[in-house]
Amino acid sequence: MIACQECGHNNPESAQRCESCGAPLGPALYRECPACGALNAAERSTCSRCLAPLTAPPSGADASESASDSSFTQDEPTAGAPQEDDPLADLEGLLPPAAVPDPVSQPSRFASHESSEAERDDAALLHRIATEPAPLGQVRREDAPTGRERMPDGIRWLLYLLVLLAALAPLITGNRGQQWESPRPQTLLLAEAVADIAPGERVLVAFDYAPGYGGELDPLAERVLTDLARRGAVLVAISTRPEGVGLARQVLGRVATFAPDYRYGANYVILGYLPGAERGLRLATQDLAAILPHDDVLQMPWEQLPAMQGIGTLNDFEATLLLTDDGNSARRWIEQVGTQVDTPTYALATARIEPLLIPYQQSGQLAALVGGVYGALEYPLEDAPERHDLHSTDGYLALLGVFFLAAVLANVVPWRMHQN
Amino acid sequence: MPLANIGNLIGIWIAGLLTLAVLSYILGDNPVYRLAQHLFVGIAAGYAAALAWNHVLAPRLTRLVQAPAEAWPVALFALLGLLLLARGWRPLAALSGIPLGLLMGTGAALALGGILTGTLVPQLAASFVPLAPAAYGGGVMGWALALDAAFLLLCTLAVLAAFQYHRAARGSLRLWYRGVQAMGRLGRLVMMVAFGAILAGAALSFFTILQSRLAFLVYEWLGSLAELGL
Repeated sequence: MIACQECGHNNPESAQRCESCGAPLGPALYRECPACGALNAAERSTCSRCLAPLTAPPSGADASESASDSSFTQDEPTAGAPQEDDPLADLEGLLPPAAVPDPVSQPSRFASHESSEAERDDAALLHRIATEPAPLGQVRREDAPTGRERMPDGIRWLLYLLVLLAALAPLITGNRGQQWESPRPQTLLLAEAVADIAPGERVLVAFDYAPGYGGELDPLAERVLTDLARRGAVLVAISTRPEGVGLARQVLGRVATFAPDYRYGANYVILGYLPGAERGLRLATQDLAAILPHDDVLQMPWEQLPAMQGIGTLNDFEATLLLTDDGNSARRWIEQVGTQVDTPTYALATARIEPLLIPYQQSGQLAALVGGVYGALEYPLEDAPERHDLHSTDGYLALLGVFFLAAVLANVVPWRMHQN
Repeated sequence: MPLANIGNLIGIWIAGLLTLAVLSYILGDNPVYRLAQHLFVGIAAGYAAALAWNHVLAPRLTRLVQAPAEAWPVALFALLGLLLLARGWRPLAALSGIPLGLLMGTGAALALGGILTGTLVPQLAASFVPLAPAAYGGGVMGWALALDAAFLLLCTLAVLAAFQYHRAARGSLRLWYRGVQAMGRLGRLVMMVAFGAILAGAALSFFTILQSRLAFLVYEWLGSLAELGL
């Protein structure tokens, strides 16, 4: 028999829901201590209150029987002992450990408190949030769309297939849509700013994006950095994320192959990982060597590298190029560095966070903002390195068609289903 | 085949198989996807730990050992770092509050200062825009830019009104609050459009990444089969 956790009704083992109240009958959440009667989480092997071993397997029927035999009842609450229907009884393992008061010598000051219905509801909600497992990939039965609200599996699979085909469209069509693209003013502004950088001037490049977004940001970074490298600018890479250092090595390594005689130490340097988020950035604006004493590749004090001569703080760079996929990271750079240095900051961002950064571009805090793979497509660069993942224009057009179709399906098909 | 090419080929195959493993989630949760997920999480954590040791901790501790007189502040910071570990040992757990307080205090102070000087004040200043076409040079373009500025001002005020909460008003204030409510409705519409733009940007980002992975699978992974003569 399985006891319902809501109303206590005993149900057969095969029941999925309570025969009395209809509540779902999941696996038992409680295990009652045979020594003190406290209710513990089912997975505990010892009592969270008295540390006695919990040998009996969790069973709804046993739990309800032994609970009725226990020494305390709701009419005669024992100080310090949890009530049998106390929804917070098995949260002790999740909450910070606290000494349990002796129930005899130190009666609880809450003993006489009678909880209101609202308090009990809140406690039951907290219990549910804290104890129920959240399995990956499984939607709770009661939360899943039911009946006609749920999109039929066939249509869902059709949409998956169409998105896949849209992504493959450039491979099929040869990306003919690219001829219709023209650079936007922001992209041209960035290209002009890059053209104004004189040979030997230092540009700080912040690789603040995750490798997962490399497919979107690598092509854009590669084009802009190649342009800078060919113009003789010195690139100094830094990252406030550990994985950004690996990306800097990868991207700058490729850039060095597209620009003649572009060598590590003389023309570009990877300073490495800048820890400490806001604190690290603010300190770097005052004393860069204090926080990054060595470069990442040669592990040398970077004052010995020709590219770093005369650099002391972030203010000594002619410009900052921020490569980012994270709005918070971009904001940190703007707030902690942008307010402390006088040089312009240019942002290359993913399409996901581009709308979040537009206000900073319009207020002049970002000198230019270019986003996504389309930014890479628009960026004017002669003899640009060829990349297959740049051939994406036809894919975007096809995706637009899929979105339109999905909107029609989402609105018309359910309507027809309701009519039927 | 040269050794470097073999290494590259192995890398392409591992990347290709892991890409397929992640994409297999479209069929639902499965062991192959889980394996890829655990690998990514484990490698990312291991990489971050190794980087933190090699580039943050080791150089500073080496400097402390080599020149303790010069690098003595590092010892103080190391001690504060060690105190963080005391949280797991009850007799000393209270001491972990010292570095935690320092971290929270400096972090909060810098974040608050940054938000004020780097976001709030500049964004407020940017919303003070001239509305006269003459300020934009006059003509059709001047009028267009002035209208754009007026639209910006209207949307800003509407969004601010959307967060204006009040009790039911009586008397002379009633009309004012009704106006604020109407502006608030417009503000919610503006926010919905903004959230829609962010969602569209996210969809575009994820689609671009999908395209990039498919291009990798087609050109590099399948291309490596041709390189092997298959």
